[in-house]
Amino acid sequence: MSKTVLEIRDIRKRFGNLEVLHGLSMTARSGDVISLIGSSGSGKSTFLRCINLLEMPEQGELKVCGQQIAFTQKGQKRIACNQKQVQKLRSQIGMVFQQFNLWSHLTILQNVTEAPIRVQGLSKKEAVDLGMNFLDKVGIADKADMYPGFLSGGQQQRAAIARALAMRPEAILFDEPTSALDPELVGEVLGVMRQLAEDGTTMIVVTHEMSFARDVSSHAVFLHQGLIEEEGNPAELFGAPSSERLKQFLSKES
Amino acid sequence: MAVIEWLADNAFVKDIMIMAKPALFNIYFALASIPIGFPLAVALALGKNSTHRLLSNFCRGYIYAFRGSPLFIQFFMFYSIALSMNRAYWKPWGIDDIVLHPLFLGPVVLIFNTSAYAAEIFYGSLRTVSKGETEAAMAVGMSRWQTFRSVTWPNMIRLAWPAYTNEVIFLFHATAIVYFTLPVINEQKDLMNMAGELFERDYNIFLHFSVAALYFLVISIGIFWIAGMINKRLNRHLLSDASVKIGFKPNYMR
Ligand SMILES: Nc1ncnc2c1ncn2[C@@H]1O[C@H](COP(=O)(O)OP(=O)(O)OP(=O)(O)O)[C@@H](O)[C@H]1O
Ligand SMILES: [Mg+2]
Repeated sequence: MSKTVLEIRDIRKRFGNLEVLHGLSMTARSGDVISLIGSSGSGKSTFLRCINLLEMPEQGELKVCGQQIAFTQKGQKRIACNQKQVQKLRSQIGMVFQQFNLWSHLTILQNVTEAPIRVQGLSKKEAVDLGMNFLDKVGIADKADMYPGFLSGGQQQRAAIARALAMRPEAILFDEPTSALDPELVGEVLGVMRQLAEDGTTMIVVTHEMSFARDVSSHAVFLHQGLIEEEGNPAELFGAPSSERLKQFLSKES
Repeated sequence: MAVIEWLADNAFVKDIMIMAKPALFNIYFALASIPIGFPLAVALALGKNSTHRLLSNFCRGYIYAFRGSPLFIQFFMFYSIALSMNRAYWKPWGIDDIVLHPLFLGPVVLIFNTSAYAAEIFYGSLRTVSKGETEAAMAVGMSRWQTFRSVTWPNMIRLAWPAYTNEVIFLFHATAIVYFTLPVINEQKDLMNMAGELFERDYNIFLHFSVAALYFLVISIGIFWIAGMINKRLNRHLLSDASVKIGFKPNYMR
């Protein structure tokens, strides 16, 4: 049995008085590709952001590679006991954003080497070798010395994937990685992600690309209003949805 | 030879020669203020942006006070306060020669003033740094300090640069009023002192102040030129028409 990378138990998240996640649990084992689907506002992004603690859930447990993240209460707010532990978690769990969020003032190569150098303490040479490797892997090694603003959206998103890969994370979170792309550029990014899945990268992917969810993922989760409405093997989930809401959702999406 | 004699006898050329040394005093006031005013302004901007209530309010108040009152009055205030504390403090401590000296007190007041104006500029640019980019930095496991260093700082400076350039120009122009308040010691006259003195000799209303203005103008152009080169470098990652150009936009009223 492959090792458990992520264990998420009963996550609850509130914005003001509005609770948007009502207790979500998920386990990701090494090599899993989990797709998260659901209509707009169902809490997919919020859930991903709770996993690397860009948002702090009011309740719930988080275990990364067996390490339990420790929380404490400070007044009304919940905080992590140890900021170092949070940073470690984030360095182990990569994230790819819908809007790429590349560092615009750094070259593509610098985008990829910055975190390995600053966070993991790699030497510049090690980081450059590693970075060029991953840029090659996503097919934009020739753009290494260009600035993000000069690249197409598809190339920028592939650079963002390389940036996440360069930390050699245990898992990568994708938040609608192709939603901001022109239709003709979606394929190149999905192609890279497909390749990563084949290589055994652990991924949690929020997506509206139903064919990707069906064909590539090993597990699919349908989120509705901050709760898991249905989950399971993608072939079954898409082939024979049992809940009415998922049926509706799928008929609208395709 | 005739040309040289004519030049040596020309009133305009004479004024230029006479005012070269006084110009150094204006340059001194600016050069002594900027290297301290700049980091102080950055600190104040960060302080104002801080979640620490007391710190934020202090910085807010400081910036408001120094931007809200005329520089002219600040000179009078500081000088009279410094004078009134002479008997009790400076003299007994044996530092009255330094504290009350215009070459010390002048830059002190200018630093207070420019740091407030520049802080507001940096605060504004700090708020416009892309949230996505700082989030991406946190998501790879950077600490707050690393995030600031790698992402926030370079963007903040780039965004603030054109406005900060104007602030430096204003500061340089503001050195013209230092000696309206502070006493001239020995022959330490600045451009305005010298122009006024020459005017009182021959009442030539056209010549002397024009030459003083010419000095300010020429040095200002030099500042614009250097700042423009830095601006180009700060924006090298942008398509050329997307970057903000630095233009001659003097700010005479404030
Ligand atoms: N920072 C925030 N402050 C307040 N409310 C928020 C915040 N972020 C998200 N929400 C709310 O939480 C709910 C879930 O949002 P979320 O972005 O997680 O949905 P989503 O499933 O990712 O939707 P989409 O498909 O549109 O990206 C929404 O109702 C949204 O308005
Ligand atoms: Mg979303």
